[in-house]
Amino acid sequence: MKNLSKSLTNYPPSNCNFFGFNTTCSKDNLKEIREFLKMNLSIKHILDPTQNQIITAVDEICANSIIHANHENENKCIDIYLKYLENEVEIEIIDKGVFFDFSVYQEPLMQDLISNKQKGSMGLILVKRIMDDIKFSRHNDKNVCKMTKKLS
Amino acid sequence: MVLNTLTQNNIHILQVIGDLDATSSLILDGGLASAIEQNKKAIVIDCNQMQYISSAGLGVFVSYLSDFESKKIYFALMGINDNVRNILTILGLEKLIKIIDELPTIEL
Repeated sequence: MKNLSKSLTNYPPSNCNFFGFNTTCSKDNLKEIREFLKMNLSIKHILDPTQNQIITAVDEICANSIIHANHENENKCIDIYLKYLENEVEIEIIDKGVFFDFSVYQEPLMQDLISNKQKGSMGLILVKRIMDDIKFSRHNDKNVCKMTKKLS
Repeated sequence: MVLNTLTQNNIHILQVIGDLDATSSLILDGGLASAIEQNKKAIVIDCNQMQYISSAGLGVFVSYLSDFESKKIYFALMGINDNVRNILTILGLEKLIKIIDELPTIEL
């Protein structure tokens, strides 16, 4: 029992380079996703503002997945994987909802959002400006959003 | 997230405690809509205890900017932390939304 509590105290090990998190498609779980990211970015000494930027970008993609792709269906799941490569961090977000075709996405103008009193449409602008690379793909019945952020 | 409402120096203050994300932004939206409906002429969002903001939270502010202008409502974010300021800057919103450190004196 002592050994178990010791290993839990040291979880995750600092030499680990791959972390995963799975939750259901409820907006209430976004905070847990952010906490998972914060814990695993902190142990790699990725600090603010980079840490918060990565958390924000992943939060935006997860919110879109939960709300738009999966219609907040709590019987569906979303997986988040965080991987450390040589000089960058790679994040994969996987779900089985409606596919988002990023190739036809057009960034809206801020002035149009203000004039139209729009509450949405800023999430992907943030993601594009924060992350260095973003790809959306479909593999069998799964949507995969893969994003990378270079670490200086 | 908890949203407290108070009035000080003729200013309607909405105090956000916690994270402003896709879930909690709906509460703030209701608070701002209500303030505008009540013809409040000065609205400040107290962000001193707001740790995080997502685009959903920012979207609430953006959706009322034209109302603030047309109804001549003073609107500002007070006490934002460095992370929130960074996200506002990435979107260029620090040029469109007044950011203050403490409550001003408003003459109505």
